[in-house]
Amino acid sequence: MKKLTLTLSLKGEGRVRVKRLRDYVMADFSVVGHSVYRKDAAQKATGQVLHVGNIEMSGMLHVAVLRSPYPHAQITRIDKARAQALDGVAAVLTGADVAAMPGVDPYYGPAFRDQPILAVDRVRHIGEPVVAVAAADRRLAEDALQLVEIEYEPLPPVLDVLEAVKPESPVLHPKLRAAGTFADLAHVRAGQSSNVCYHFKLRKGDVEKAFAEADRVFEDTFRSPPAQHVPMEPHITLAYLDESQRINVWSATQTPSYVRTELSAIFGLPMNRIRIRVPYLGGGYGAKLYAKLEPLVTALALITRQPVRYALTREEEFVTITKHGVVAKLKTAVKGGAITARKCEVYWDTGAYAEIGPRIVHKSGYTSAGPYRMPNVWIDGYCVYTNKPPAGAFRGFGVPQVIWAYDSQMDIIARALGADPVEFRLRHALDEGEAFATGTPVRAFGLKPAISRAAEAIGWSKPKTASSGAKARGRGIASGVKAVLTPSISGAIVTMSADGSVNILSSTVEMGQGAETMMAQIVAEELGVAFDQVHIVQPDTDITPYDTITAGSRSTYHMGNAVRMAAAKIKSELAAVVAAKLEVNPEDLVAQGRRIFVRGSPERGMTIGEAFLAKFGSLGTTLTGEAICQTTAIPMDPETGQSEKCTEYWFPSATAVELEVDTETGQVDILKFFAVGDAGTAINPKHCEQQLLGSAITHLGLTLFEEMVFEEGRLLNGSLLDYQIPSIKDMPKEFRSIVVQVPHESGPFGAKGIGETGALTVSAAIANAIEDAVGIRIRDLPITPERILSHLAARREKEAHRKSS
Amino acid sequence: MKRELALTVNGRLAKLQVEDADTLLEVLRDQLNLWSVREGCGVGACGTCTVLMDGKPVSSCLVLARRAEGREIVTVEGLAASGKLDVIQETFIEERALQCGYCTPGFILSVKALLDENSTPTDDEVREYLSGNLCRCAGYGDIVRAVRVAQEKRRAGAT
Amino acid sequence: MTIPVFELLRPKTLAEASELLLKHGDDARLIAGGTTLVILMKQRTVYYPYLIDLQGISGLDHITADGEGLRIGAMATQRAVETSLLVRRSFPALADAFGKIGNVRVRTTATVGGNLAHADYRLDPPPVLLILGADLVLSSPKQTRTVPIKDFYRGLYETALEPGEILAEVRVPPAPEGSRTLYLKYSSLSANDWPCLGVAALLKGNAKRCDELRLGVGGLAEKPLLIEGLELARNETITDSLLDEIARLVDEQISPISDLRGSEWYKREMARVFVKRAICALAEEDPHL
Repeated sequence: MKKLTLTLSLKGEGRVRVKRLRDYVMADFSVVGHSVYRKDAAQKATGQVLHVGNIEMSGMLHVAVLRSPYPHAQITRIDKARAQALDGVAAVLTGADVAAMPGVDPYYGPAFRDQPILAVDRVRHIGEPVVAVAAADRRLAEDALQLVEIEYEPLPPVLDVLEAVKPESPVLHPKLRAAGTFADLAHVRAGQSSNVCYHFKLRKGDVEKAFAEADRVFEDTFRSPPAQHVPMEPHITLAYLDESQRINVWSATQTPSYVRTELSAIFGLPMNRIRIRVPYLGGGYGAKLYAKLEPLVTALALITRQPVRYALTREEEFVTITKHGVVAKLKTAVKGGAITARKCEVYWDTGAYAEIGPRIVHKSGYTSAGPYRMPNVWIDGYCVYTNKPPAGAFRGFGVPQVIWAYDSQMDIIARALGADPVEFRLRHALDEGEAFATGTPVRAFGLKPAISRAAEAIGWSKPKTASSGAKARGRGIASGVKAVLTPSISGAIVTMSADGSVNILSSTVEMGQGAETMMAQIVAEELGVAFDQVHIVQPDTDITPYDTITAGSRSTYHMGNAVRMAAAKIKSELAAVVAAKLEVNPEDLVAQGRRIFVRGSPERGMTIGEAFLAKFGSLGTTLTGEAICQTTAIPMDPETGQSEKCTEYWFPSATAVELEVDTETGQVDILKFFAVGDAGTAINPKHCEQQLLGSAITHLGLTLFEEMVFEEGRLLNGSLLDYQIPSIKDMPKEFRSIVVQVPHESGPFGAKGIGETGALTVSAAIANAIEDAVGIRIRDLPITPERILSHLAARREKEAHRKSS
Repeated sequence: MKRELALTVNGRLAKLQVEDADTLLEVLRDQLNLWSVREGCGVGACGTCTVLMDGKPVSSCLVLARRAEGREIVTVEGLAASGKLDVIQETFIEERALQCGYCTPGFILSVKALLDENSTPTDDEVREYLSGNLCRCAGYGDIVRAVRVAQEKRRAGAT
Repeated sequence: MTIPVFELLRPKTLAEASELLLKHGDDARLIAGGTTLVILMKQRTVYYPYLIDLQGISGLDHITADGEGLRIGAMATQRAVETSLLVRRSFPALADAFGKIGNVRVRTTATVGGNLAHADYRLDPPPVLLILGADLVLSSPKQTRTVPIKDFYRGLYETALEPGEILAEVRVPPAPEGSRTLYLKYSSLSANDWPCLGVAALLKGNAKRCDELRLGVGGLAEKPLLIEGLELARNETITDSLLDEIARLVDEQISPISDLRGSEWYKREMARVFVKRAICALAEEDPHL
């Protein structure tokens, strides 16, 4: 395997572990580490691929939803009689109707059960579903909505996250119930009486003392706006009752296992009375996590006893789930050229419903001070309700927002101290085995290599091309880390037939990231069969075991390990047969080239078929292996955020850019762009590059122009005519991804994951380059030309004022 | 009121009953089950519903089905109808120019129309032609490379 | 999103179409390319029980030229204008402006007439047609009249079209001998977005001596504007101070609407920058200089 980077300075145990890993990495794998083609490429290129939208059933009903025009209001009257009377309308459902269904909990949510399937009495954001119609076709359903009358009594809305935390602010949810679904959210408590639904605290050392003793103190506030994921396939769900009256759901979801649990809780049914199936997704990026349309569509299927499908329009997508808008206040002490303390106050606008906000504030919040050495850290993270569409996970799970803050400030400090920004980061970056702010020692931590590779790619040590005319050139770098969600669970079953072909049963969702290919590569390697002999059975909760979530860059490690361990069980059964026949030690056997043989003596062995015959006397049999990969964490102290192990491993990231600012228009032209990330061992190097670059380009859009613009709670750009995402014309002139590979001891073949790493450090790198180019510091995203120009104009005015006085 | 419509899709004439208000996208999916044509935005901005109409790319979500009568409609299903992939499809696979794949049929049709119109487009022409096809996986670099490789293969006689 | 049921009327002649418009009044609307109307109908922002289809009327999609200039039929597609050699040779800025609308699929479907009659304040072609002194031919059963494009736009989405009248043709007179034109579209967000503003310029002469200057702008008021008072540049050398004076003139005449692509302040700043850039680009490109 090439491109291996092992330039860590190692301490203590780290050295031993990495030495053992070296054996892994240097071994010659036949499938792992190769950029094999995607499993799904041909069906995607021909359009034959299965999406939920292709599934038709006879008698299927279509859904349209009437949504709130008010950010905050009491519903005083709903008259649905005229809509219900329309020919072809099967059901017109309100929140009150859902609440009246026997045994049904009309509220759901992954952290709190705070979100109604349809609004009950009160609406809390514009676009909140209030009345749903199921009818013979979409047009009819939409026509019927026009006949529904709703009266509202407007309530004062809370629209700003900093306003919402004030005690006098109206409270959106007077009563909260914890969901209790996820182990890592066991600490989330209900019963608060403000809009802060979760408060994360981290206390390490004595920040106040450090501020008092500091040479310099830096205080900055950084903002990032709400944004939308824009998967090209909007949310879609189909539900029906099968011949045993079980609930069957086909859904574009990243969390089949969770959706089953949630539907079981909502409808009070045993889990095995619910079946969730997931075909290929047209992108997810975090938008399709947890329950979205499934509760409503299931309720309609139960009421109408007909198949029901709901496909969101793009406009509805915008009011369904968003990326958290964040205000981050950072105060940092410096003494003797080194950072001694940092205090972070981070306000997360989670919108009208908590969604997964508390997990983001916790799991990403604890990284708010950065992966840098600092003896004193204080973090307050607040998950705050406002009357806006709910915010959830978005590629990077909140970490891009905190890195935007801390790695912008790293540059501010380096510049103020006259230090080189790259050198300043390398000097503060944590070394292998050093403790993170949580007290957790970092392992397999390729942060320094990532920073160095980014700097090298951009030619940091070489002089910049000179600026010309109105164009000013600058270079910038940023670094940061995300921690993998811990604890979490992935289960897998692998079955092998006597011809050596293999099925993998896994609930990991393929949404473009290449998870199927990754699993097939790992299993093919483990069992010594060809990549093409491995088939992936798509998520089906009747068949595929539990998986926490397809998100957070966790599948390669967790599901990769699960499928590998499951395959290993089959291998050892085969090895036992061969060993007995050949009278050798099973541990001396290897599986390769569809055979099981003695290491070093390929002629001494059996084919897989021969092994099956030897074991079963038949070729019509299968071998099955099952395994669960479960990571554990030591819960953080609720007051100090300290834990000896808060996460299983880390995703180090760096971005380097060179850009040009048009000082007359404020427009930024990205000339060179390098996305660097530590993936651990790259199971499929090409896919790792695509993940790095794809997440980075998405965040290029989020940095330069993407923003959901609200006015009095109303979204002004809720369609693709107005909300812009990067097109092919927005690509930088030169762009490349660099996969750093610092293997992790317990990852499958040393792999960690890379789905979000490229996203993490883009915004700060660009802002840092802009300061390098034109000497202004932008602290608010997106960095639009107007924002840059207004800073330049303000500086000109200030200078003119100084000259005149 | 539904009325008869004779629509030529992928070389076949289909006799359908449609409303004047039905879009071409709705008819292609709901009546002809051509699932490669997908609604991504409904406003002609994303390109997932791209089809070729007399060889030119259009957003089928913005075209009233009735107004497509008498035109030749081609979807990705029509490119490999004989079982052999079009050289552009083949190249998208080889060059890894797809991830989630939702935008892929639209891109493939746009690239086909582009290369049919202009066998040697400049970089700017490629970007301009494909700028209305959005890919949120952001595999644009791979897509541009696929265009160039397909262009070369076509020059060498591949179809 | 679906469109509520309506009836598509398909007249064979312009006169028939006008009669249908008059007959159905507010219940009917013309559909040309349909790229905007279909969206508005799907969003249920507007609803008409009847749409009158101009597609079946022959002789409305021509692009021809003669001694009196260029004639473009209202049903010519934007893509046809963009790629027409005739247009590109005689009025490259016009081909450019049509080539900058939306994306290639939209331009393949949408028409010249549909675009102009929609009267959105940000359209790309009107600034160019304004500096070229284009006339619009409006047809109705009673009469066919010709309206200069600067009189066609009345306000935000408002035009001079009378009930029953149909925009049938655009006529572009020959540009002044030796003049050059340019259209600059500036998108402030993604490269593919609607314009923050558009500036069209026509210059006869060069940096040393300006014989004639015309400017048209889009996105800077409720309607596209032809800048007035540019006689001040006649026979002048194009200096920084002249450019400043022109920029001031522009600033006095525009009244930008703050929108997602820029505040009023920003659009005024950009008007100054892009007006100067357009003039300088044309001044520098004089082949005789």
